[in-house]
Amino acid sequence: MPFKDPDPTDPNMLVGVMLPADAEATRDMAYVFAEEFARLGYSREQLLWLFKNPFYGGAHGAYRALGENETLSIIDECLDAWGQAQFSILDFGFSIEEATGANSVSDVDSEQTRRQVETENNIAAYSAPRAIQNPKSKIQNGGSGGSDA
Amino acid sequence: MPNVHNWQIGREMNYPYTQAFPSRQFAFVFNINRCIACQSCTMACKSTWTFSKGQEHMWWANVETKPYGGYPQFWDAKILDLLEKSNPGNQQWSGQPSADKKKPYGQFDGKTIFEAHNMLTPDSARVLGYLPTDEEWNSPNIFEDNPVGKKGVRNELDKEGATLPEHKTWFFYLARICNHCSYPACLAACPRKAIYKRPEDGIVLIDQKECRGYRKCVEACPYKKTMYRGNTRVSEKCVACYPRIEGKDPESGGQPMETRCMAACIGQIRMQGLVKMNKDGTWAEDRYNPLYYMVHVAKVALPLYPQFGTEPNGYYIPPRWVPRDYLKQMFGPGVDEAIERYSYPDRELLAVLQLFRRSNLIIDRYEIKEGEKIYEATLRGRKITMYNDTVIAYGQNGKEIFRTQVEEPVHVRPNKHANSI
Repeated sequence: MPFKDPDPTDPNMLVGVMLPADAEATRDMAYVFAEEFARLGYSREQLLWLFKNPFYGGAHGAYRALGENETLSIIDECLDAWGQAQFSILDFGFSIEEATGANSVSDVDSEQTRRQVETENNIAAYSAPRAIQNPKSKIQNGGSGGSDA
Repeated sequence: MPNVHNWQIGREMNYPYTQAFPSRQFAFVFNINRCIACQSCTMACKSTWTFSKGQEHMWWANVETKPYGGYPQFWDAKILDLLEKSNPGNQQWSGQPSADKKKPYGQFDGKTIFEAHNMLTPDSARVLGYLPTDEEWNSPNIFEDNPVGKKGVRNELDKEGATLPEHKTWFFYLARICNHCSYPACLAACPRKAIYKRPEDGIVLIDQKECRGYRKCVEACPYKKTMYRGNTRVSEKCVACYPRIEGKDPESGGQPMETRCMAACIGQIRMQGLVKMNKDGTWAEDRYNPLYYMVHVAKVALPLYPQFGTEPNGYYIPPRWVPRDYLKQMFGPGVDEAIERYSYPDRELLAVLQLFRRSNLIIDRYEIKEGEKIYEATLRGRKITMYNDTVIAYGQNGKEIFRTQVEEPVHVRPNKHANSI
């Protein structure tokens, strides 16, 4: 944070400088946020939360400029295009309830047991919350993720 | 002054030295659409290389908020202004983006920083540039860099709180490191020839024993990625984490590994690699190298300010929402095509985008195994077709590093083990 006030006579200082932007730019920005996070697996509720959260300045600015109805319509359109892929929450020996902090169904006490479960490739696959909400999504059974080097 | 060919501007240009190219070149692609300015890259670099006394202002890797931010402040606006003054009204591109690898973005008809002779002072200077002021080096990302107290009051937080200025217009986050240019301005300007480009990977380094701190490199680099260190009186710059590139990191198993800033990227916006070079300085055909694919086949990634003339090796997938005139000034004439292709990616591009940040090893080659069609949908009137293809990444030694799918599994750590690493 600078300690001096901006000097309005400095031609490089953006003080009251008009930037080339219009409502379309805001809409485009909203589309990009919705698309990118839909690709990452965000649900309708999560996407709306991202737009409503003032800490995400860009998304929140678009939300305030466009209003909730238009934002939701953008979210729905992007989810339709990018959010239909079936996906799984994979974790070794845990249930979806436990993963999301709900009632504990299974229990794995130690790292050793976790590793053992992993070694046996006994990977439990669960449908994500969005997959349940989205009728077009399917629940995936089994499968494994890519292995990092 | 010898003439060299700069494929990014599509023509021959002046450069103080004859052209010489490495066998492979350090290069990277950043997807700006995904950057959230978390500054993980910035801190990964800081905590690795520039944590010592005298390096307080050194941010070899930084993320700045465009259009109003910059580190040092105004770096791009100032050099663009100098070039415009050197060649008023003529800093223009001609032609169209094409398949010609010698001029894929058309031709830049204006002056590069090596050609603006009329603006050089003194006459012996080789490169148009300027030395940023101390104040311009003060703020890593101005207005977003650090919460502090009231103006003029140091070491005391504002008790009532403060509201940061809100920009009710477009903005985006530009992550930057040294571009390890093919025609480095820092190297061209150094009167002691203390700066060199490594023949094996094109990384640009400053020989600390040869440097005498004249700061000609700081003045010349248009991206302002060389920095002067007051307490040692020599200049320093991004070293591209060369021990990792050389496979010296114990984790790498002897294979080339991506830099710290790449590995730390939680937004998964970064991919870095080594591209094979032709003897004429163009990229050698390497169809299934992910960087080659994104820059020369899909053409979604574009160089940063190619008109400066240094042939930077950092490429960016431009942010889609920003006005095109601004983007064309920053990334050249290929912007429209790049955004069109990224917005409606084809089957191969969707698969290649999955390669970002699945591993810290450098990907030499990828292979796609076609999967089943999952669904079709429309987005803003355009058809989107999703296939669950599997993309396999291979390292320099030809061994598989990892494989992943377009329909990517999501792993969630349970709450009870949230901090069990």
